[in-house]
Amino acid sequence: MAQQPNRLRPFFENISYEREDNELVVNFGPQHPSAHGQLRLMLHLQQEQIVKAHPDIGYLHRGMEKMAENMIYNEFMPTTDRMDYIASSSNNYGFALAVEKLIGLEVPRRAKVIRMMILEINRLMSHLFWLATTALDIGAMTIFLYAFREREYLMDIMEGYCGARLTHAAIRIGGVPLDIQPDFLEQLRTFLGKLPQNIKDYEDLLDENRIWRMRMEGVGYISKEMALSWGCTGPMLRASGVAWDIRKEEPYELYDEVEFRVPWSDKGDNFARYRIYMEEMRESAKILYQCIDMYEKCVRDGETELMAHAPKYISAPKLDIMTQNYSLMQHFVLVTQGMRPPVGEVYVPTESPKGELGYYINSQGGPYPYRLKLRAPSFWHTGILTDLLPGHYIPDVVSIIGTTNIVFGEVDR
Amino acid sequence: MSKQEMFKDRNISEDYFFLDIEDYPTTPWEKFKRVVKRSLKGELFVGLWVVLREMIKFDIHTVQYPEEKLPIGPRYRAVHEMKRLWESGTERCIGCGLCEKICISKCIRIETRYDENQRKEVGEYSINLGRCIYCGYCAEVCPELAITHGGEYENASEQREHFILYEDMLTPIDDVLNKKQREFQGFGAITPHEDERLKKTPLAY
Repeated sequence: MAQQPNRLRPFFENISYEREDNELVVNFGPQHPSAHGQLRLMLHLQQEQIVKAHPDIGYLHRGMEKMAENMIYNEFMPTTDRMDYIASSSNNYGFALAVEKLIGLEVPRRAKVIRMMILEINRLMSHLFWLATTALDIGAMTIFLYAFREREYLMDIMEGYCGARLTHAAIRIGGVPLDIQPDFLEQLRTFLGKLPQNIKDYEDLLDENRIWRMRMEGVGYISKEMALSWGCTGPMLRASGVAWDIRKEEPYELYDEVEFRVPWSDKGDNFARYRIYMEEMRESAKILYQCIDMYEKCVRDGETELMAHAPKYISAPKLDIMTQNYSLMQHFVLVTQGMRPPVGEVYVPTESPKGELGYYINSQGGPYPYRLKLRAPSFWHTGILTDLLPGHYIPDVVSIIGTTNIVFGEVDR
Repeated sequence: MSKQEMFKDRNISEDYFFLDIEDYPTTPWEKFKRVVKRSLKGELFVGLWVVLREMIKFDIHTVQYPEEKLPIGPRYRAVHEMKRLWESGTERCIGCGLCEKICISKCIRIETRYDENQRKEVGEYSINLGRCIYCGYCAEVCPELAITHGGEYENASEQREHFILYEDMLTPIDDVLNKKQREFQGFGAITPHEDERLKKTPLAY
């Protein structure tokens, strides 16, 4: 039904929908508490069953890709925090890695180990948050409280490291800004000591829980072909029968030196995704234990460098800036004008907690990127809802959105 | 090996392990059997026991916020502070303007002028705390360790714009003279023991 909207009769979205047979159109969100931020789903319903779903995004759009074109490379770092704000350091890291690849920097080993620890802490934070909110959406409030309690310890560790709890900005191009605080390892060990018991508690509460199983089993089935054609990555893809993890396929940082295994399953439903998240938490804990050993070895070997030495791109350490004239001059140039990477383009994927997070940077040799494209996993996982939701019932929508683990800072960017 | 072959037998790689999830029951009889099996296993009581165990542990972490406050770490990024030199107590800020330049949210405003000795002097310096995102870059770029973050985080106000001036952020002179000024350890701080690697310029020839 075509409408001729004018000022007196504005465009009514629902008019045309109402006139088709007996479909009911429901707007799910953008303020629905289980819509994970600003998701608006237009659901066409036949009774309780969904016949058509149309995700509507853009309620959190900030134009980050355009913002990046008007910022020097270092300035963009805190902006990446605001993408996947549940695990902000993984976004920082992806961007830092892309720029490092663009200018060909080698990061000191100690910085690499610290970065790995930060990344895995962020993965744990993200997975715990996922578990908490999904369980809360489905009605298991106990899990929400327990998982948030554990996440709180991790946030305290991150707060001690970088001084912020959510938007860390804890990684720099060429290294890390700070060494870990004196009680970091001790706190981390205490946490990791408790984690297996905590994960076991969650599983005791959920694995055999018949309500949880009913909401999860066979709901939101994604076949292998569907997952691949919709560009799913991360746990979404691994639950659907494709063993694919960037940490294994294209190892970055020190992921080829640590021992860990990635779970996969061919069930493809919500329950498989839930199990994969739980197993990944255990693997993260394993990686963290190895990182602690690696860090202690770095300390024994006397490796103290935290930032790469590249005067053309990276400011010298603060002590040099304060004592040496040449470093100070470099610092002023790098802050006021910004680094100028060579002409070229680069795409660097990293395995963020939610899937493949990629940064494409096109540099024309200037201090600002000519074009920066962000490939955020949640965007693709929102797209699949169009295909995934029809045939399901209203309550399933909530659990499917829960297990896709979409975060809207990342979808809208 | 061609690209296609690379993707063929991926799932038997050592790096991955297959999650063993038992098949879901399909027929009503299987479903019934599972219900009985579950009930006999007492799956309900496992969950109840976990919750009860947590309850009788009395391991309570709640902080009664306005009455008790958690200590703020030395790296915490909250409202800015302006530091003074330890020896003389003069202000560290030299008015170079790097913090204003790097500020992502453009919330720092600095104006400088010549003082009576024709030296650079900071005139107006303000930070709009309503815009500030507390990323810590101003502290990181400051070449004099002058602007840092502090631990004061209770800055709720009635309007969005909330300007803080240089004088408000400046450490009181008495604090410096009594050695009460605390150095910020977060972004932009000098790594501890880093001065050991520094070679001092020989002054005496």
